[in-house]
Amino acid sequence: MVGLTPKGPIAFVIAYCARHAVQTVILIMLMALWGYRSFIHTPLDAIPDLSDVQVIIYSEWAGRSPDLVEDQITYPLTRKLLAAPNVQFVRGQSFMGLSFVYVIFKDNTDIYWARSRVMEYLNTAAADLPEGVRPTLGPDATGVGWVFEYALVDKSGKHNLADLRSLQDFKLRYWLESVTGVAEVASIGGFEKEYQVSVDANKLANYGLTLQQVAKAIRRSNNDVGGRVLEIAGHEHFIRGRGYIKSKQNIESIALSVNKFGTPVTVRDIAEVSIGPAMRRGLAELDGEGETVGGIVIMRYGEDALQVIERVKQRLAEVQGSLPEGVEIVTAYDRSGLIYDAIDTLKKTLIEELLIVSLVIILFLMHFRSSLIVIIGLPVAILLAFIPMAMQHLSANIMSLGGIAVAIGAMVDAAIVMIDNIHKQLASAESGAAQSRQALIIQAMQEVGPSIFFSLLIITLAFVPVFALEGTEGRLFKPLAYTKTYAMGFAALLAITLTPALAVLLIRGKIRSQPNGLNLFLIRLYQPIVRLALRFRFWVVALSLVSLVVSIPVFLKLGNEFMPPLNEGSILYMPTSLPGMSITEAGKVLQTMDRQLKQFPEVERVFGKAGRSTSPTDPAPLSMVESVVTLKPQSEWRTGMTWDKLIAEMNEKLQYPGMPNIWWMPIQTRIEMLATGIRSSLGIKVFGDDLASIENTAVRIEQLLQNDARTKPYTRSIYSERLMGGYFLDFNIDRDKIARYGLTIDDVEEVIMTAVGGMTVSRTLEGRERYAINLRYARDFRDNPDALRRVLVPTPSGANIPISQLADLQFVTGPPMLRNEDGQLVSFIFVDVNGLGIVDYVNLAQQVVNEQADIPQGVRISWAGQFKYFERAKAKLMVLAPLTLLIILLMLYINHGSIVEALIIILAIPFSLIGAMWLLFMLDYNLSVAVWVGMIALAGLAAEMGVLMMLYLGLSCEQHKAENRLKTSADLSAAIVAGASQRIRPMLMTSLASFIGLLPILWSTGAGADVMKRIAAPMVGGIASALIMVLVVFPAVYSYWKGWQLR
Amino acid sequence: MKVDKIIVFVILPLSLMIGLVLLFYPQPANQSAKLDNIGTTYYAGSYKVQLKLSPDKPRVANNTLSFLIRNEQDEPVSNTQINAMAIMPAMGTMPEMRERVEIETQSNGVFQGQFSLPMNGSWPLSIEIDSPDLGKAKLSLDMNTSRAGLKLIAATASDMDPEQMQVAASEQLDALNVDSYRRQLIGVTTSEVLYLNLVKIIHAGARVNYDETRIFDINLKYDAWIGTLYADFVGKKISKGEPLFTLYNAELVSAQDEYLSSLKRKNTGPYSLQKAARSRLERLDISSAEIRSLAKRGQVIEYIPMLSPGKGTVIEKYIVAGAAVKAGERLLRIADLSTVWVEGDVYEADLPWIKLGMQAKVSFPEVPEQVYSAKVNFIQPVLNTDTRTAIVRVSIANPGGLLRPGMYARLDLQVDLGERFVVPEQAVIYSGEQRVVFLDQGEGRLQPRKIKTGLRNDGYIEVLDGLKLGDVVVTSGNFLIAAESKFKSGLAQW
Repeated sequence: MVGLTPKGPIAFVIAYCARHAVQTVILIMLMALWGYRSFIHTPLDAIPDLSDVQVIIYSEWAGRSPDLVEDQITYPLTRKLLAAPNVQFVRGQSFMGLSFVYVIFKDNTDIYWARSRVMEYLNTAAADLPEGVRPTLGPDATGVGWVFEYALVDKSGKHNLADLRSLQDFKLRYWLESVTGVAEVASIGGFEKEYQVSVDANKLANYGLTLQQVAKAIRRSNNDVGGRVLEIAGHEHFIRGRGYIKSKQNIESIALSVNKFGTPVTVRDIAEVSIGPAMRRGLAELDGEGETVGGIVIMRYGEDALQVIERVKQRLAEVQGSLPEGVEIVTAYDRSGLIYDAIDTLKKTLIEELLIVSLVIILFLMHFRSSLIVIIGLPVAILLAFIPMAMQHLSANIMSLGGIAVAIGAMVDAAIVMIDNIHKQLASAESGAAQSRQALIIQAMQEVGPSIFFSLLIITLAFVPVFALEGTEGRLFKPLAYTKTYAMGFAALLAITLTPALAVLLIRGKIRSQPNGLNLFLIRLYQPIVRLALRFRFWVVALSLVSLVVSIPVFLKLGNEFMPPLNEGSILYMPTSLPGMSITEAGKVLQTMDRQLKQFPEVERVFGKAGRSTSPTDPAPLSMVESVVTLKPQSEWRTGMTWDKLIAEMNEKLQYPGMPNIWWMPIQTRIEMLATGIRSSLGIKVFGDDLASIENTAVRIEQLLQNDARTKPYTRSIYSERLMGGYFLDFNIDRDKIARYGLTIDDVEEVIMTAVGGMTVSRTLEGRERYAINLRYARDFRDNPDALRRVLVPTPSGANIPISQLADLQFVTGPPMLRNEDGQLVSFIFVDVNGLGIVDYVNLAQQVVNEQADIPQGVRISWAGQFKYFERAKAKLMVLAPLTLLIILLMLYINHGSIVEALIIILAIPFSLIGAMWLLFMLDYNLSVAVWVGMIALAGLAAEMGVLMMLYLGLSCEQHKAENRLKTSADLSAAIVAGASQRIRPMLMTSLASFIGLLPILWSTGAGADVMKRIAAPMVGGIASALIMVLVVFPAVYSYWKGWQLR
Repeated sequence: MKVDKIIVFVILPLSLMIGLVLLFYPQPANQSAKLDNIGTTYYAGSYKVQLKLSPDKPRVANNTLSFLIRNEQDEPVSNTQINAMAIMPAMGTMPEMRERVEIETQSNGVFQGQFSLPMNGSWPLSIEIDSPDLGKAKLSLDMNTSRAGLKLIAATASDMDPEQMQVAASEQLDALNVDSYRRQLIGVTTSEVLYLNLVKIIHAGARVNYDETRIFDINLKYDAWIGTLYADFVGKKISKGEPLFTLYNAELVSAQDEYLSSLKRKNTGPYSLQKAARSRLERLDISSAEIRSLAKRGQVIEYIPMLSPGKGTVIEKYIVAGAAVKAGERLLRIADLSTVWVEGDVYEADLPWIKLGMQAKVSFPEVPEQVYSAKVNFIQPVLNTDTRTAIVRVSIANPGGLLRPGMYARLDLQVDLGERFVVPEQAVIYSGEQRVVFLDQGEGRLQPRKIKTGLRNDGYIEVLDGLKLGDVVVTSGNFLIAAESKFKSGLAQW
C-alpha cells in the first residue's frame, strides 16, 4: 500500500482537509474553544481518589469490649449486609466500644445507590442489635477526603477546652458542613462536656438505695411536655410543662426517696454532681503548646478538592467575626497548597516540553513557519483531550496531566514526519513548475500520512492494557491512561486534518534544496555506521541479542514497590505504639513530640492528633499518633537542607522508646491505610466462629508450611498474626454464689456497667447544645483493683454484697481488635514466597494443609493477598497484551502488506526495554505500576520508530527497484544505506522530540514530580536504546530479509 | 578490517563477560580472603558481630545484610545458625509485617542475607545467633528506611558465659537499652524497692451507736400519776440526781406518812420500825436524798420528785405531765453519750483479718477533718444474715457530743502486716495474669522482670518474688518502655 500513488481513506482525508484548509482550521479552532471550556471546568486535585466504592457503617456502644461489640453489632450487621446487591465484600472491625463495618461494592457502583441499599438492609438489621445501639452511615467520603484541618485556639485564656469543643461541636461544625462539597466535619480533642453524677457507694448503701433507682429518678426528671391549648378571649395559649434539666443544681435536687418523716433524699445527698469531660478516645495538640480542639473537613467523594477548600476558607473568614472573643481558627493542614504546587510542577514541565520540542523542530527544519504547524497543533490536541475528560468527570491531577506530559513527545511525530517529507519533496522538485505547490505538498503528505497515522494509532492502542489494571492501581493509572489515549488519539486525528490544512497555509517561501548543516553532519556521521552495521550484520544481530539477554538479570535485580513516592510537601509523623495506651500517657508524649518538631526552623506548624476523631473514616487507636507537620517554603530553610536530610534529622531527634517512627505524607498515608488488607503477596485467611480454634489452626498452618519438605524451600517467611495485646479485667460471675443471694447475672452486670463503667442516663437539652448525664461510682470506689472488689451489688433481701463475693476478678490479655470478613471472624497468615510462582506455591501449600492441618469443623481457610489482584490483572493482561500485539501486528500488516515486515517492526519493542532497564537500574528506581505504565507507553513509541524506519527503508528499496538498481546484494546495501541515511532527519527528529521532550520530567522537582519521573524514566532509556536498535540493527535485519527475498 | 574483527570477536564479548561477572558476583571478589572490618563491633555473648547494610540506608526493595562473626579470640566462627527478621509493628488497622532475612554462608565467618522491605518506615531488626560451641546470643537493632545504618538496641547475654546463658536463657527476658536522652523524652522516673511497713486497710461502712453499757431506763414498780415533768423533751440533758418528774401514788403517800411517824417515835419506838419505813420508801425507788429532805421537811408531799439515777440524755420519752402510768412501764430512757460506739459492717470475706485490739480509724464523710483512732473491742460472733455482715465495734470518747448516734461513719480497719518489700504501684504492669516491672540496671539498660505481687496499699504494692532490696524499678513511662521491649525482642515474651 505504500507507494507514490496514494489512495485510501486517510489519503483522502488529508487531501480534503488540505484543500479546504481555512474551513478545517476554523472548525478545529471551534473545537479547541470547547476544549478550553472543558479545561477550565475540570476539577483539580492532587491525585485521583483511589478508594473503593465503600460505605462505612459506624456504631458506638460505649465501654463494651471488642468481643462483645463483635458478637452483638459487627456480626449481625455483616451477616445482613452480605446479601445486599452488588456487594463485593463486607469487612468488619470491632474495637473497644466501636464497630466499623465496611461494605465494599463492585467498582463503578454509584455511591448513592450503594448507600441507599445499605440503608435498606440496616433497617432490617436494627432489630438484632442491642438496645441503644444506633448504627450510622459514614460520610460519603473516604480518608483521602481529609482536605483541610484546623485548630481552635484561645490565646486570651477566656475559654477552656470544654468551651472550645462545644463551639466546635455545636456551631463551627454546622457552619462548615453546610459548605457545598463537604461531607463531614469531624471534631477531635478538647473536652466533651457532660454532667457527671459521682455516687458515693457507702452513702447509697446507707440510704438503702440502688444505682438503678438513681438512674430511674434522673431519667424521669428531664422532660418538657405540651398540653395543647387554652382559649382565653379568643386567643390561643399553648400549654407547656417545663422540666428539662438545665443545670447542675437541677440534677442535685432530684429526689430519690422520702423517709417516713417526709425528708427527701436527693441526688445531692448521695452523689457529687459536676461538669466534666466525657470519656475521651482522641486528643489534639498544636505546636507543642498544649491541648487544643481540632476540626477535620472531609470532602465529599468526587468533588473538586481545590474549590471545596476555597469555599471552606471563605466560610471560615465569614464566621471569624461571630466567634467568641479571643478565639482564633488556625489552619493546621491545607491540601490546596499541594494541589497548586502539583499543577504548577506539571504546568512548568508541560511548557518546558513544548519549548524543547519546538526548538528541536526549528533546529532541524531551519524553517520557522513549519515549526509553527507543530507548535499550534500540540496545544490544540491537548485542549481537545479535555473534552472527553470533562465528560467523564476525570479531574485534572498529577496522574491525568502526567498522561499528557508523557504523550507530548510522541504527539508531534506525525506533524514532524509530514513536514519533513514536504520539505524533501519541495526541495527535490526544485523547479516547482511541474506541479502546483499545493498538489506537491498534498502528495508529500499522502506519501507518509497513512503510515504515521497508523503508527500514532498503534501508540494509542498499545496503552490499552493499562485499562486492565484493577483496584487501587487501576484507579491511580486509569486517569493517566485515559488522558494519554485521548491526547494521542486527537494528535493522530489532527495529524491528518489540522496539519495538512496548516501545511498548505503556512509552508510558503523557498525551501532550501540542500540539507542544512546539521542534517549534513548527521548524514555524514550515520552513513559509515550503517555501512559497518551491514558489513558485520551477523555480529550486529548477535550482539543485540546478547545485550537483550544481559539485561534480563538487571531487570530481576530491580525492587518492587506499590506506589512511587509522591512528595506532598508536608510530613505526617506517625509513631505508633502497642495497643492499650492510656490517654494520659498519649497526651504527655504527643505534646513533647510536637514541641520538638516545632523547634526545627523549617517547621511552620505542627498539629498532633492521638486517637480518633469523631469521623467514621478514622479508626485510629489511642496508641497511634498522627502529627501533620506543615513546612515553611523551601526558600526559608537552612542552607543545604533537603527533604531527606530534614527527615533524617527529625528522626534522630525524636527517638521515643516504644514508638517506632514513621515519616509519611498525609495523602499517601490515607491511601496506604485504605489499600490495607493483606499486603504480602500471599495471605491465608483463616475463618471461623471462635478465636481459639482460628488461632490454633493459623499457628498450625504456619508451622506446617514452614517445616514441610514440600513447601519449606519456597517459604521465605511466614507469620500468623496473634491477636493479643489488649488488656482486660474480667469479672467472672459465679452462678452458684449469686443464686444463694437470689441474684441474676443481669443484676450483677448492671452494677458493673453502671457503677464501674458509668451509664449515660439522660441527655440535657440546653438550646442548641446537648450534654450527656453520666451516672457512675465516684472515682475512689472504682480506681484500683481493690476498690473494684468492693463494688456493692444490691440483693433482693436489701443487703449489699461486695462483688468479690459473687465473682472472681481476673486480669487477662486478649484481642484489642477483632476482624470480621463476610460475617466470620478471620485471622491472617502472611506468607512471603520465594523461588516459585505463587499459584504453584498455593497448590503445594493446599496439598500440605489438606493432608496434615486437620482443620477443625467450622474453620475455613482461603488464599488471598495481592497476588489475587495480580492474578486477575495478569489474566486480563494475558488476553489483552497478545491482543494488543496482534492488533499492532495486524495494523502493521495492513499498512505494510507483509507479515515479516510487521514482525521486524515489533522487534523494536523488546530492544527498547534494554535501555529502559538500564536507566532504571542506574537511577535506582524500583519497579512499580508507574514504571510498567511507562514501559507500556514505550512499547508504542518503539513500534512507531520501527514503522518509520521500515517506511523509509521500504521507500528507498521501492525507488531503487523502480530504477532497476536492485539486483545484487551490493545494490541492496546501497539502497538500505541511502534509505536509512537520507531519512536520518525525521528519524532523529521524532525520537529526539520524544526523548528530549521527556527530559524536563526527569529533572523536574517539586510536588508530584516523583510519580512522573517513574513513568518517564523507562521511556527515556527505552527511546535511546530503541533508536540505536532502529538505526543500527534494523538495516542489518532488513538486509537479511531483503537479501533472502532477492535470492 | 582486522582491527574491526578483533573488536567484534574478542573485546566486546570479553567486556560483556566481565560486566556479567561483576554484576552478579561482586561479593566473593571483595571478601574472598580478607576478614576486614565491615562495621562497628557488637558484643553479644561470646560473639563479636559486625554488620553492614547495603545500601546503607535500607530501601523499599532488595537489601543486603552482611555479617562478620568472630569469637573472643577474633577467630571467625562459621558453624552458626543465624536467624534474622525485620518487623514492622502493627499500626492502627494495619497488621504487623515481617520480613525474614535469608542468610547464606559466604565464607568462614562471613554471612550474607537478602531481604526486601515492602514499605517505608521503621523495621526493627532482631538477630539470633546460635552455635554448638558458643551458645545463643541475640541482637536487637533499630533499622529505619529514613536513616542510614543500624543502631544497637540490645544485645542479650553480653556479660554471661554460654553455660550460664543456656540455663538462664529460658527465664531471662531480653534487656533493652534506653539512653538518657530517650528516657528524658518520655519522662522516665525510677524508685528503689523499699522495705516498708505495709498496712492492709479494710473499709467498712459504720454507724455511731449508743454505748449500750451506758443506757438506763426509768420506770416504776407501781402504778402512778405523773405531776410535773422535768425531763420534758427527748434530747434533754440530765445530770445525776436531777429531778426527772414528780409522781403521785397512794402507797407512796402512806409510806411517807409511815416514815414520818416512825421518825416522830424516834426515841420511843424500836429502831427497826424506822428502818423498815425507810427501806419501804427506798423500795419504792425514792432516792435517799429525797428521803433526807422528807425527814427535814417533816411533811408528806403528794407529788414526790423522782431524781435521775445517772447522767445522760433523754433519748426516749413516753410520758407527759399528768400522765397515769402503770407499774413496769418504761417512762424514760436515758443514755450517756460521753462515750459512743462506732459499729462497722464487715463482709464475710474480710472477717478473717479482723482481730480484737487492732487499730481502726473512724472518719466521717461529712466532716472530713474529724478522724478518730480507736481499737477494736468487739467482733460480733454471729453473722447478720440479712446484710451478710458482722459488726465490728470500737468505743470513742465523745466529750463534746459531736458524735451523734445514728451518724454514718467510715471505719477503716488497719491490718498491720509488718515490714514487707514494696514497690510503688505505678511500677507494676498488669499483663493478664502476669505482673512485670522494669529493672533499671544502670547505663541505660532496662530489664523486664516478672514478679509476684501481694497486697497493695496506699500507692504501694507488695512484691512477693522477683525483686530484692535495692533494685531500682521504673515508675513512670512504663507503657512506652514495655512497648519498646516488646518491639525489640521480636517475639512476645510476656
